[in-house]
Amino acid sequence: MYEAYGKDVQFFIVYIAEAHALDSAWPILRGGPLLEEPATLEERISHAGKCVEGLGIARIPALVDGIDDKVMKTYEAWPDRLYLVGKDGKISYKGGKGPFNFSPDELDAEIRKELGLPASIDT
Amino acid sequence: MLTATLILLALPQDAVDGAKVKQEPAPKTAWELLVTKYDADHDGKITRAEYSKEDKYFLRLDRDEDGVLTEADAKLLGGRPKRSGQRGKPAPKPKVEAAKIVVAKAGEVAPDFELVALQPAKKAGTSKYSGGTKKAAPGKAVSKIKPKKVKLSSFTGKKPVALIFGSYT
Repeated sequence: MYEAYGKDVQFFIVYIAEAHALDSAWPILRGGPLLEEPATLEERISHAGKCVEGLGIARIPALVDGIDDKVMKTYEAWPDRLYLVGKDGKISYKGGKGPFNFSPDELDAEIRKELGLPASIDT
Repeated sequence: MLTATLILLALPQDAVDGAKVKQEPAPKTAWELLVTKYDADHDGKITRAEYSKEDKYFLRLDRDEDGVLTEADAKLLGGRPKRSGQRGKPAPKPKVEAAKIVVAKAGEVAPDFELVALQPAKKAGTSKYSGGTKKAAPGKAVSKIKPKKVKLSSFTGKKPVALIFGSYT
């Protein structure tokens, strides 16, 4: 999706509070990275760097939420969520809350609508 | 957790493999991470004095509730979520209500924000990624690097913006 629309749409990963840090209320230690909840913005930035490198997505621009989690709370984004903000500055798509309602297909359809492209054949 | 969902959004497999870079070795276990970071006297235990984060994190980690963190606690991590606050009790409600946050809604103007952009470090020896700020080396002044920030509203009238919220864990 980033490769297909990246010239016409600005993509940002917005790195927020950990979903399953080892010192969180719900740690998941198997099959994933071992990280503590960051205590400072610099620690969160470090986690974000590990994330984009570890997942091989460093080409997608990334922003890091402040340690007060203000943007995460405003966007009700925890643990993960997709949004599309239209060229007019309005939210044209607010995706379902992850992980179960996190839908890249929906975002794809909304991007195509925003860009005036025909609906994808796959949808 | 961004892992599976981001792969759907991102690059073809050969580009993903090509983007891998050499990383510092990750800890193999939670205990290895904790003891390396906090066990100042290297006695195989982490006391409350050695642990520098807030009480709530220490209490979550101290699974056997003996007042020190050991490898036995680390082995008990995972599984059912623990309640925040004191063990066995719900977290007390704050006395002063936090200011209400106006949440983002579809069809409305996106709440503006200005966040630090992740930037790869330019110099060897510094942390691999930064927000643009650097700590001063001993005896030297802090480098005057301004963190790069991005404001959402700067794209209004120019381009749509896709936001992918998530974390590594």
